[in-house]
Amino acid sequence: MAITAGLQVSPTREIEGSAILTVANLEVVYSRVIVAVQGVSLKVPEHSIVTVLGTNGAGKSTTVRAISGFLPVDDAEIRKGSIHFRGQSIGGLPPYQIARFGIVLVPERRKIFETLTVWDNLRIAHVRNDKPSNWNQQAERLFGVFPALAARREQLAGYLSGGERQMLAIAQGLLCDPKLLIVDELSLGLAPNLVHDLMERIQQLRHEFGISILLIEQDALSAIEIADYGYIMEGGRIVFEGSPEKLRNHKDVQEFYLGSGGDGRTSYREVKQYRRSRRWWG
Amino acid sequence: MGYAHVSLMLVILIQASFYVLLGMGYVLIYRATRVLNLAHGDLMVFGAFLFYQGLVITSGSVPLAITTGILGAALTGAIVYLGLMRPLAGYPVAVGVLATIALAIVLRSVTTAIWSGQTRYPAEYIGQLARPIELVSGLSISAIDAVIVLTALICILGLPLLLRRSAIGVEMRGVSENALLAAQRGINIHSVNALSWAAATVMAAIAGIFFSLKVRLGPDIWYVGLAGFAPALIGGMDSLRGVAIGALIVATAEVLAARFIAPQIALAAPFLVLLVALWIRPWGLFGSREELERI
Repeated sequence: MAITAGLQVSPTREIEGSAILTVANLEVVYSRVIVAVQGVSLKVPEHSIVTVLGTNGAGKSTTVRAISGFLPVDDAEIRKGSIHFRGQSIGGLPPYQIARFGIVLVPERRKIFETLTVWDNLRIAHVRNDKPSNWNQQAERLFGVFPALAARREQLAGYLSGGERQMLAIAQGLLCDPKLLIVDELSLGLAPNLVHDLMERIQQLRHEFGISILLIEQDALSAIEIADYGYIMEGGRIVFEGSPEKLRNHKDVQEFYLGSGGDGRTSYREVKQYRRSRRWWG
Repeated sequence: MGYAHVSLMLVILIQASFYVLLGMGYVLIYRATRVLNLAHGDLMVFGAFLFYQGLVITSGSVPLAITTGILGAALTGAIVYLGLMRPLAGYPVAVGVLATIALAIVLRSVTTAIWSGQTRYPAEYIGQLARPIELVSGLSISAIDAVIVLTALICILGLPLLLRRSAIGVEMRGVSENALLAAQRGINIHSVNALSWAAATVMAAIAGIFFSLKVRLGPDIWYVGLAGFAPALIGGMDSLRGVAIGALIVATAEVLAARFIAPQIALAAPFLVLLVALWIRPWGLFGSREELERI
């Protein structure tokens, strides 16, 4: 219905600047039967923050797993489409090779080593980052961005708070010297003001480390704050995309993802109805 | 004979040291692959035979023979991991444990095929090591026993420090906790695990070398190595310091049982203690409760 009206989403559509990551027409199938992601195309331009929004089961995590090479772990495979990173096809490569290309994932769960100290958590990360001088310099810069971590250097990571864990996970990922940092559910289980604060630091890190960032989020409101471009996924497809202003101003996006609609129609039953009616789209 | 009780304690200490060497091997492997390695005893025998072969070839050069045993054991451990355990990653733990049983039986027949089932006494080659050292008048310890205690002490102090401080130790702990994340952060988890297996097999070989020098060598001494999982399990399977305590408990039970009940019961003592420990505290003294389901 309205959410797609007047919008043409085509995989070949160009975003400003050269893309560091290009996903085209991706189709992922679990156990050879269940189609989890269908015809997903997205681009992450150099030095930009792109967000993929959507509810549980929308296919966000599957897309991330396809990009980072973790599909075989769950008996899933890419059936169609391609994933290119800086011009090279990386679809179907094993995770460690993808990590060496410079794609680093901060996973949704189990993102730090709880039995190691904060410092050990950091020094364990060194893919692509072999030069000690470079590594030390980056570690110091990260302590600058996350002073809370510097204060807890010698503490076991298992004792960190949720926000500090997220900081540590991001810092650990950055020490692998990525070109593209993928953060899966930054906001998960964190207080809203903390999420806001973390988002700001993500933006700061983008400039300081000169990287591109792909944010996979349920918390659309805070992700849109810092993103340059956003995609909305639903039922394994991308149903809407655009600049933050476009996302923010679109009435249906407001209603369903930002929770700030306003025609008084707030019944959850109607929401479901609405979704079912446009399932044909794709 | 005022030293009777002291000498009894010394016997316990020596036995405990032996168990420390064996038990730490179990812990290293468990931490790497979450598998109770039931082939540890046969790896121990294999390492000891490599040492013996070194003695035969070099006609009695102990340093060369020990080097042969240790390098051979390290290589064996790495091969076992890369060839047998790595392909089994992702399967239920029971599959891995069963694979180690199969490995044990294969190793045993290979050892018997190469060296025959005959009992050897490598100590013949190094007569002077059996000479007793007098600690105080009336109380003495044989040189080999002194070396056993010293080696165990070095391991108790050194290994945890190595795991805690060194870069490779931190990587080992990281891989042990979350292999997926470790792989993502650029750690070659298979070489780290192969190293753990190599180190554990070397420790088994060292224990085997000691046993063969102290008592005897033959393919049938594998059960001595198997008894090493009792202290490891009592200590908590994933805890190195737990092994030291577990070894002390098991050795005390074993020596006291042999002295005051019957020597025949000594063989069963480690497992009797293990049964009691499993009954009271199945996750071990220093183990984590969450590990329980994985054994």
